[in-house]
Amino acid sequence: MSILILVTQISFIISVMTAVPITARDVDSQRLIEAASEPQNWLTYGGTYNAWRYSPLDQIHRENVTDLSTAWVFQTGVVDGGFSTTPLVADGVMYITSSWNRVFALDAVTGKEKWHYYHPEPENFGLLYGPWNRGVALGHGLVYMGTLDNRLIALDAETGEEVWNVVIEDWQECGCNITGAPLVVKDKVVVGVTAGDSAHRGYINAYDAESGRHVWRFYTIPGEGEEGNETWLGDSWKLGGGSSWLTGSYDAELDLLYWGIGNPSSDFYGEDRRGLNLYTNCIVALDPDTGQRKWHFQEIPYDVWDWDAAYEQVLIDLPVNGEVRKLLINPNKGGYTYVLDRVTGEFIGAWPHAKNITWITGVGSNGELQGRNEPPPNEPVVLCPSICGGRSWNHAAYSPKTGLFYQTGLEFCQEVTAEKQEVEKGDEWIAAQFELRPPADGDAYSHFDAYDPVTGEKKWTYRSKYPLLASTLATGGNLVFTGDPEGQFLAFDAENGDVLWKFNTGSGHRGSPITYAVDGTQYIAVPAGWGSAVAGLLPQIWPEIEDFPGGGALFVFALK
Amino acid sequence: MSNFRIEKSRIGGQFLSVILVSVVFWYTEPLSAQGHSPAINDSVLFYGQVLFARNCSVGYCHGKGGRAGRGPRLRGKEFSSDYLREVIEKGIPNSAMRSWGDRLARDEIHSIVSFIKALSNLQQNDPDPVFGGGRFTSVNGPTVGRVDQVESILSAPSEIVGDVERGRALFFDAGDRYNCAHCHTIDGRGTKIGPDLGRLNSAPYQMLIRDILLPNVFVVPEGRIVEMVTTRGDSMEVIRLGETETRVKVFDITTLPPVKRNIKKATIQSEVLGHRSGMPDIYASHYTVQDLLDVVSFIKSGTGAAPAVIDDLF
Repeated sequence: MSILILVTQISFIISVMTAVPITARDVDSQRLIEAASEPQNWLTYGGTYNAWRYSPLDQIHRENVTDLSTAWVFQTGVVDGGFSTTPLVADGVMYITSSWNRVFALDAVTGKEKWHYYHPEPENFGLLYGPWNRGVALGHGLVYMGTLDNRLIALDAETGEEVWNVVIEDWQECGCNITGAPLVVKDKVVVGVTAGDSAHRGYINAYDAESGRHVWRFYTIPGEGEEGNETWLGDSWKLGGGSSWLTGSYDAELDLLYWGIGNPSSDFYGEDRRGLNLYTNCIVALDPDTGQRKWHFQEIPYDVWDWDAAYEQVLIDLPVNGEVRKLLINPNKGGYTYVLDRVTGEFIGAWPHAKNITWITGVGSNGELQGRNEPPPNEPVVLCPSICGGRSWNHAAYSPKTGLFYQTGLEFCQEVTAEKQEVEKGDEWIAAQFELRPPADGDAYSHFDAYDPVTGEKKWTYRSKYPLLASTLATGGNLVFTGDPEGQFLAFDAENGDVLWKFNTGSGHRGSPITYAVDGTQYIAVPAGWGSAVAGLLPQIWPEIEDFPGGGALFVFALK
Repeated sequence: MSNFRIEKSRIGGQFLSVILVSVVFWYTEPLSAQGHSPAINDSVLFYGQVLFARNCSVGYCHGKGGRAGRGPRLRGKEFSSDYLREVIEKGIPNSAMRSWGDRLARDEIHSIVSFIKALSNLQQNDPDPVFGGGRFTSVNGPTVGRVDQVESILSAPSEIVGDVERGRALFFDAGDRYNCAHCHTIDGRGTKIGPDLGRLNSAPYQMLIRDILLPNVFVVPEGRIVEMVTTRGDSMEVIRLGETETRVKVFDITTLPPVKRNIKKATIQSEVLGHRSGMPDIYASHYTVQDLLDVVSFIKSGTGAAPAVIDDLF
C-alpha cells in the first residue's frame, strides 16, 4: 500500500469520524459565515449569505439527471396559500415551514418527521399577507420562525420545544406580520415584516439570538427630525409603508447587512405623499450590530406603481469595465434588475428582465427613471407589468461555474385606476382597482432566462405558457432547476437552457428548491403546492388556472 | 370607519356626557319594513359595488368585480343571500376570510350581498356592470343618498381633557418602548401579561392613574418581579407563568418588549421573588399630564365614560 493511499484512507476515516458528532445544535454564526465550505448543507435562506442559491454539489449532473428518482415525499397536510418554503438542511436534518404557522424537522434521508411545531393560527385572520411562510433560520441551537400573528419564535433545534417568543407589534394594530424567513447574523436574529400594501410605518428588527430581547429597530421611514423625513409630505411618513417582507443578505467581510425595502403606501395614489419617500424602494446597507444605516440606493423614487425593491440582494464580485467590483444584484418588481456597488451603494447599471414595461421608457446612466408614466387618479390606464410584477418574489440563482444569473420573467399587464382611499392605521391601502390584461400584442406568457449579471445580456430563454412563480436552484452539476404552475419540476442545462428532465409533482410550484447531501448522496428537494396572492389573480387572464389544485408536499430526489 | 369624538360639558358639578356619532344610511327608496328582504334597486347595487370595491376586491382578495384574487372568484357563481350574509358577517374560520360584522353595518352587508348576486351571470372577462347610471370614480366621492358622520360637539372645555384617539395612539405606539400594548390588552389587541384593561374599565380614573404612576403601591402576587440568575451568570427580571418538568415559563421583562421564554431548570442558579411590580414605575416622567389623561380616557372609553379631566388626578 502506497503512502499516498494510506494517507488518503486515514484522512477519509478522520473526516468520517469528525463528521459524526456534528449536529444542528452546532450551527453557530461562524458556520453560517462559512456556509459555502459545507455544500452538503443548506444553512441559510439563500443557501449562503450572498444569496446565490447555488451549491457546488455535482454528483447529479447533466449526463445523469435523467436517472433522478423520488427518494421520499413529505406531506405537510396544508394545501392552501401555496407552499413557499426554502428548506434548510443541517447535518442530515431538514427544517421546513408550511402555511398556517407550521414548522417541521425531518430526517433528510428518509423524510421521517423528528418533530413539528404548530403555532396557533390567529383568530379572525384577515391580512393580505399569508397564510404562507417562506422558511426558518438556524443558529445558536435554535430554529427561528416568524408567524402570521407577528411574532418571532425560537425553537430548540433538537426537540422543537419553544424557547422564546416575542411579539413584534400587535398584528391587527400595524396590519403587519411575518411571512419571510428571518436571518441570523452573528449574535442576532434580524427579521422584516409585511404590510407593503397597508397603512403602516415599516421597520426591520433585530433580537438577541439567545434571549429574544429586542436589540435594534431600523425604521424604513425616518421619523420627525431625522434625515430623509423631509422627503414625505406632511404627516404622510407616519403611515407611508416601506415594508421589509423578504430576507436580506450579509457580507461578513464588509460587515454590512443588506435589506430590500418595499413600496410606499398608499400604493397607487401618491398625491398626499409627494416627494422621494425615503427609504421606500431602496436597498439599505445596515450595521448589523446597531441597525444604523451605512448607505442607501433608491431604485424607484416616488413610486405610484407598487414596485418593491424587496426581492433578493445577490452579492457577487465581478469585473465592471475591467475592474473587479463588489456588486449587489437586485431584481426590482418593476421589471429592471439593478446592479449596485455594495461597498458604497453606487449605481452601476440596470437591465430589463421583462419585455413588457410601459411605466417608464428606460433607466438612465445614473439610475434615473426616464419617461415616467404615472397612473392619473380616477382614470383607468393600462400599465405593464401588472401588480404581479415583471417577476414575482421567487428568487434568482447565480452559478459561478457558468457566470450566469437565472431568473423568471412575467409578460402581462393591468388596467389600473388609482383613487384616493381614506384609511386608519393598519388598514389595507392599495388605493386602486386593477384588472390583469394581456399585453398590447395579446401574448401573455412567462419565461425563464440566463443572463450576464452585469450587462443583462440574455444567454438563453425558456418560454412558459403560464406564469413561472417558483425560485431557482443552480448546482455544480451545471444544472438549474425551477417549477411551473402545472406541477412540472424542471431541470435545465445551465449553459444552453435545454430541458433535460422533468417530473410532475401534481401541484404547481411557488417555493424554492434546494440541494444537499447526506452520507455521500446528493439530494434535490422541492416544495410543491400552488397558491398565493399572485397565483389567485392569474385566472383574470388564464381562467383555467382557477382549477389548478393546491398542495403542500415536499418532493426529494436522488439518483437511482 | 366613523370618526368618534367624545366631549363633555360640566353643568353645576354634574357630568353630562354626550357621545353623538351616527352613520346614517338613506336610500332613495326606503327599505322594506320586513327587514329580511330589503328592496334591491340600482342605488343599492351601486352602493354595493362601491363597498365591494373598497372592502372585497381590494388588494389581492376577490379581484375587481369578483374576478378572483387570492380569494375565490365570486362572479359567475350562484350563492344564496343567507350564505353570503353569514360568511361576510362571521368570516370563515381558519381562512383568510375575516368577519366583517364589526366593520360593516347590516345595510352595507345587504348592499354587498346584492351586488355579488348581480354578478352571477357574468363570465370571467365580462366588463363590470354599471348601476344607477353612476360611474365609479372614487370610493370617497359622494355616494347615493348617504349622509355621513353626523357629529355634535356640545361644549369646548377650557381645562385639560383626555383625548381618546390620542390615548389610543399612545397605548399602541410602536415607537414607544414603554407602550401599554407590550403588556396589556384592550379589545383583544396587545399582549396579555398584566391585566386586560378592557376588564378594568369600571375602575375610577383615580385608581387607574395611581396604578400607572405608582405601580408598587398595590401589587398582586402574580405581578411581582422575580430576579432570576442563570448558571452562566445572566441576571434577569421575569414574571413567572408556570413550569413544566424541565423548564420554567416566564415573561422576561429585563428589556421591553417582554419575551416569553421557557428556561431550562438546569440552567437556573437562583430565583428570588421581589416586591416590585412588573409594571415599570417610569410613567410619571415618561408621560405628560395630557398623555396620562389621554391614555386613561382611552382605557375607559369603552364604557362611554366622559374623558378624564385634570381633577381626576387628585
